[in-house]
Amino acid sequence: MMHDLLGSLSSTEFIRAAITTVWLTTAAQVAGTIGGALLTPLRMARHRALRGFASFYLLIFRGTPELLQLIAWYAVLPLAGVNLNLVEIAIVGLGANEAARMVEITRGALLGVDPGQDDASRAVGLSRIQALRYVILPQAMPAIIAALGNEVNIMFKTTSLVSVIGMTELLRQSQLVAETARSPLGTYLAALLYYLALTTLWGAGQGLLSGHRGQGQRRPSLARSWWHALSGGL
Amino acid sequence: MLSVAGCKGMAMGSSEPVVSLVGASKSYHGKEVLKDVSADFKKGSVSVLLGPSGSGKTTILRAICLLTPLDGGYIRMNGTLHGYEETSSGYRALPERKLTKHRRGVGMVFQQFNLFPHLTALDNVTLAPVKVAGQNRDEAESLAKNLLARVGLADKAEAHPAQLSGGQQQRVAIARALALRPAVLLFDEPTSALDPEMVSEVLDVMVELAADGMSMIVVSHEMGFARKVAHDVMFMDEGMIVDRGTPEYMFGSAAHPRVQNFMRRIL
Repeated sequence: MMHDLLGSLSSTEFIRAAITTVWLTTAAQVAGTIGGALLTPLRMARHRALRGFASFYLLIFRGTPELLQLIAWYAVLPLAGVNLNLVEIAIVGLGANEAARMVEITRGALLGVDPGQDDASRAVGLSRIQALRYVILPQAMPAIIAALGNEVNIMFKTTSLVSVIGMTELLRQSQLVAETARSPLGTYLAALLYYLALTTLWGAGQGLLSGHRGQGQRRPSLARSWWHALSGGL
Repeated sequence: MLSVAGCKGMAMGSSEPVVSLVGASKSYHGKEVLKDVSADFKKGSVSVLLGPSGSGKTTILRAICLLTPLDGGYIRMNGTLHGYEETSSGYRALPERKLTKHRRGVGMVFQQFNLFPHLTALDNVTLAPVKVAGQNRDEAESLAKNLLARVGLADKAEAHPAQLSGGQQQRVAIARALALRPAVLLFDEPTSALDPEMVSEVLDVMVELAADGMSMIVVSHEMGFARKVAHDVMFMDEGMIVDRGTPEYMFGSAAHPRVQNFMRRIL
């Protein structure tokens, strides 16, 4: 078993599969975050049809297993005449599901801002868009960024689902090796250690990003400073 | 200067109204909070609205600063329609996107201050002048520094709200409300969320504004302020203005029995 574990850990196939997992996580999270940013305004729109569309989207993607969604993308897209390669299907499938999760996160963070802030913004004459940009979003951003960090952690692990459509990421790679290995346990253990290393590294990075705990609002976190710089100092 | 000479109400300021409410009515979930209220608020004078909670005072302020559209009636500011338009079937509230221009004529000070916590005191004051009025930043900052000095907080320009006391936050909020040079300043129980020792620093600023001739409509239970500074006191109950007059009249024995009853309970 030790032989299979060590052999797998250091094999170029496993390293390549780990890199696949990292960039697939990144691509799916970016796609999901963009999708969430586009869907959130629809979900919160006053126009009933727009809100209805977003609600229907959430109903489907929050209400069915993600594994089944991936299989469905894989099976249905070609029928609809859309020919995507495995990587593209993986990104679309994971991203579409993540977009639904990001809508709930973003919406929750926006609704979590004190309604008095909206009153004050409008009372000084800001338009709805200006109030969102200069007052509401900056206050919702720390919560969104904190949640985004957790989403990335979850995404690292969720990418293992695309092994069922045959994309060679960490889990699929360990399955391939396990078929011929003396001890399948050793190869699966190697994949497990890779996942653990990725999520642990990410967790450490997240800790740095969110600044020191327990400092409250006094010391702006990196995330806050980053947003501050991005939003033009306001 | 704490006492405003005369205080006969009609003597101070011109007789022109800065704000007129005409037939204002509003319901929430089937409950009428404003019942056909008409009232003029005179230019350069301080009007204090009194009354039990739920009597419609805050709704009047929110209607004037266009945060709450009236179900019926309309508002005029300096003689022109404010947030409403006249149609063939009567008056109706303008849609949200057309309100921003009108809101600039009104400054609002909230009970809970509602400062923007992610911005410094200075940026709280300059946000609207820069983003709404399109002033350049230098111009807006020098105006904002003057306003902060006027409320006694020149040295707190770079502080964030969390670093300020309640009284200081409310004074920043007053500076913010003044930044667009509004025609009228509204105060919604500006001192009721403050620790007792901080009430006077906020009231002092309000007294100075009144002495400078600012048109103010104040919802407050600070009877000392109402007595000394108000030109006009209105008593509201169940969505109507029950009685109105100078402080001398309203705090005296000639006022409506409901007013006298309220005063007895609160003093």
